[in-house]
Amino acid sequence: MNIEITIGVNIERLQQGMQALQKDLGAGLFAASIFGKNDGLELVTVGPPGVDVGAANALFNNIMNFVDEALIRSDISELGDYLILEQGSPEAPLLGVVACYGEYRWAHSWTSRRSRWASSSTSPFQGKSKP
Amino acid sequence: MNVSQLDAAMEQWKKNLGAGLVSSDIVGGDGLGLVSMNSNPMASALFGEITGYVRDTLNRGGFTPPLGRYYMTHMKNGHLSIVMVTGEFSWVSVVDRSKISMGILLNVALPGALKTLQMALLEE
Repeated sequence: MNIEITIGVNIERLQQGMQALQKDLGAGLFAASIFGKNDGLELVTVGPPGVDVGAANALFNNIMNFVDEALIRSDISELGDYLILEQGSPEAPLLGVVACYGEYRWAHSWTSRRSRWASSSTSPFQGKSKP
Repeated sequence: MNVSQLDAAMEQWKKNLGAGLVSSDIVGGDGLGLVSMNSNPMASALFGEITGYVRDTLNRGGFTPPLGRYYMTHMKNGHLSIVMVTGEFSWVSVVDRSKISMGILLNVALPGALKTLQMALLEE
C-alpha cells in the first residue's frame, strides 16, 4: 500500500474506506486507487505488484472527464457520483468502477466471478470514507 | 435480428424497473431507433458518442480489457444512464436512481436484458 501525505485530506479515513471496500469485495478485488483528479496523485492504492495503477488511473480519469464534458455540453446533466464499466468477455468480466468526490476519484476493478455487488462499490465515498 | 424479441425484452425491462425507467431506446449502427419507450434521441446520440470514446480509449490503452457489454453513468440530476452495447447496436436507458433498487437492476434486470438483447440480435 502506497501512502502519500497530502494537506487537507484525511488519509486515515480513506484507508478505512479502502479496507471496507477490500472486505466487501474480498478475493474479487483486483486493484483500487484513490487519486486527485487534477494532479493524478495517488493517496491510497492497493493492487498486485507490477500493475501500473497510475496509468489505469489516468485512463479512467480521461474517460470521466470526457463523460462529464459531454453531459454538460448536451445540457442533460453533469457527471454524478460514479461510472461503472464492464470490461472483457462476458465469461470473465472485470468491473471497473470510478467514484467521484470533489477533487478526488476512487477507481477500482473487481471480478464478478469471485465477488458480488456491494454498496461500497458504487458509493465508496460515504460516511467515514470522505476525504 | 428478431424485432419481436427486442419488443419482449423492452417489456421485461419496463416491468423490472417499473416507474424508475425514464426512457429507453434500442438503436442500430445508423443511430436510428428500433424499439423505444419514451424515446430520448438526445440521450441516445450523446451516449453513442461516449460509447465510441470509451471503446477507443480502452483499446488504445492496451493494458486494460476492452469495453464489455455495458456501462453506467450516475448523473447529478439523480438519474443513471445504462448503456448496453452489442456489436453495432446499443440499448440506452435512463432511470431515476431514487425509484429503482440497485440490487434488482444489477442482479436481475441487467443480466436478463443483456441475454435477451444478445439472442434477439443473433437471430435472423
